[in-house]
Amino acid sequence: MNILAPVNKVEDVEQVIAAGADEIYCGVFPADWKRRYTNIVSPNRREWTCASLPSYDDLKQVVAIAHARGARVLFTLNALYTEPQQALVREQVVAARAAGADALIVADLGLLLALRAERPALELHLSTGGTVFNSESAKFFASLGVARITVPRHVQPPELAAMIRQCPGLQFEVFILNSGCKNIDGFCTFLHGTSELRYGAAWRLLKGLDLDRYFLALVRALSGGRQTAWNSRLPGADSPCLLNYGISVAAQGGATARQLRTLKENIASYFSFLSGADPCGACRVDEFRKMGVHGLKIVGRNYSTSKKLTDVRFLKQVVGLAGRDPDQTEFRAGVQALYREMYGMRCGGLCYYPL
Amino acid sequence: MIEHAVFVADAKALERLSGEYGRLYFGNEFCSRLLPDAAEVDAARRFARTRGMAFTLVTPYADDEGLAAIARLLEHCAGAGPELAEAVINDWGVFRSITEGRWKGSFIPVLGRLLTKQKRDPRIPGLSGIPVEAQEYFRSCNADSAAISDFLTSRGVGRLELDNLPQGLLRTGPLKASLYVPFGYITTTRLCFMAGADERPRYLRRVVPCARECRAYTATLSSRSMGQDIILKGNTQFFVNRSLPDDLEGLRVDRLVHQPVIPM
Repeated sequence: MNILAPVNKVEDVEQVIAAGADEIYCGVFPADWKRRYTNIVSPNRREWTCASLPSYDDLKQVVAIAHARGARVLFTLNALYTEPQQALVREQVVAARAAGADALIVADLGLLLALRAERPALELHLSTGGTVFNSESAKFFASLGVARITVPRHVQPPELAAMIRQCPGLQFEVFILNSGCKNIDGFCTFLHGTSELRYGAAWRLLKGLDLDRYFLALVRALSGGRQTAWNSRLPGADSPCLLNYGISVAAQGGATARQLRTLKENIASYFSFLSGADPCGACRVDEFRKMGVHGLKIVGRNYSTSKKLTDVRFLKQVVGLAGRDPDQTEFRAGVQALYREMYGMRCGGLCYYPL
Repeated sequence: MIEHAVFVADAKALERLSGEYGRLYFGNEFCSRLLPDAAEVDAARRFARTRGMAFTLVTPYADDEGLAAIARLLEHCAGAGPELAEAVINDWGVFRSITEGRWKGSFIPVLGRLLTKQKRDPRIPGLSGIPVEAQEYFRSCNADSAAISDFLTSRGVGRLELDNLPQGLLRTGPLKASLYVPFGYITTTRLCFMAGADERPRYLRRVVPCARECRAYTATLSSRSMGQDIILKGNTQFFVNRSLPDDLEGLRVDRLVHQPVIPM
């Protein structure tokens, strides 16, 4: 199984490959695009500018370093584009190819159709934004020339196993670490990055320092109900999934006061900072290996280099553990012990793929 | 001439339906567990036929299990009446089955609002200092791009389902469109907020069994920064916009899909 690691700067590349990444993925946020659309309309679904490389010169360096070390570079153009954007996106495709990117990760059906017609030899991967939840969808995109599909976070291992059986010619990859948004990426139409739009350089500095990651690690380390007791009252917190909503619940039929209160508290828990904490799917890696998953994708282009390296090293060891012991219970215990050792805290049951 | 359709998701709501409509939308977009069964679809078709209404079957995105349930409904409906029924498609697997697979020619395919890709965040109208190109982007949808329009046309799709965006609409494509009023969807998940959530405290990141609690409860999420209240029903969040665009004809909108209640 391949490990796919994110990068957002040239300096990351050599280190994440040395740590065990087989492929890396990244995007470019061109200045001209940002001038036209601002950061909140990203060409690659990362609305924080610091999550992307600043230029195609940087991409060229990324590719050169990666190829010299035997790793492939997947280039993200995985937003959804309107007609006026199609020409600009096509320019990005040309630039990415010129820089030497090995494959494109796309989500937009229009771009996919255009590339199939214009560049049939180009290797195309379908982003999670393609919303493949079933075998027929996978076959649909395969018929359009897609070679690999990143399945949405909500596809559970048995569902994926069935898809892989149904689509033997396709490669599938799964999210394995970080950013476990509860909404379906390809069906979610909320904005992100509004704080950067509002606060500009000051926000970029804070985001670049990775402070949100340390804060969310603290939330994760809390116990029981305290984890979901916090929600966003912080200025600058812009994710609609973490907003400090006032919540009211109405019943259409008969409901007890206790039921209404319980439902309200449960809904509120989803909008707590715990929902921003990074989940993990490593306990299922051996199952993914057995069913023929091609790649394990680490989320977090905007994370610091140190976080990326920890993630890749952790996952490399997990892949090494896979297949050694047929007992999944033993495997999972080993993975969880490794998590504690490498991250300095328990995983806390924040699972991508709960058992 | 604008066609007025009404969207009913729950068969029990049919008997309470009032108003004059030319078409009945029946089914679900967001959850395959809320799909009607064959008897309910038959009842809805009878209801439509006796009132002179055309019929549109609405289908959701789905996993393989849900896809099988959708397939059973399509099989049941294919050729069931003198006229082809419309099918609103919100899943590319269903799209494949209806436009090139087993049910090719059995339905009039319509691209659902999960696949037309508008930006629906209620904060958009309140954004300031946004360049014109970004403003136009927020009013558009990717299904209007030439490549997608041509593709859809080649597969027999002639209609897009669109939400009535608070920031306004901008159309660049040639296809006809339906406009959903007053509820627009913002986001959806398989990790339902309401499934089994009225009995005991829980924070879950898993797909859990449900008793269709979404039909018993509606939640409102209020935040000063959101611009308007969000309505949460089951696994999906909605905005409300009751103001229609002035120039429906110019937007190639020839159908309004009225939702007396949130169609869940």
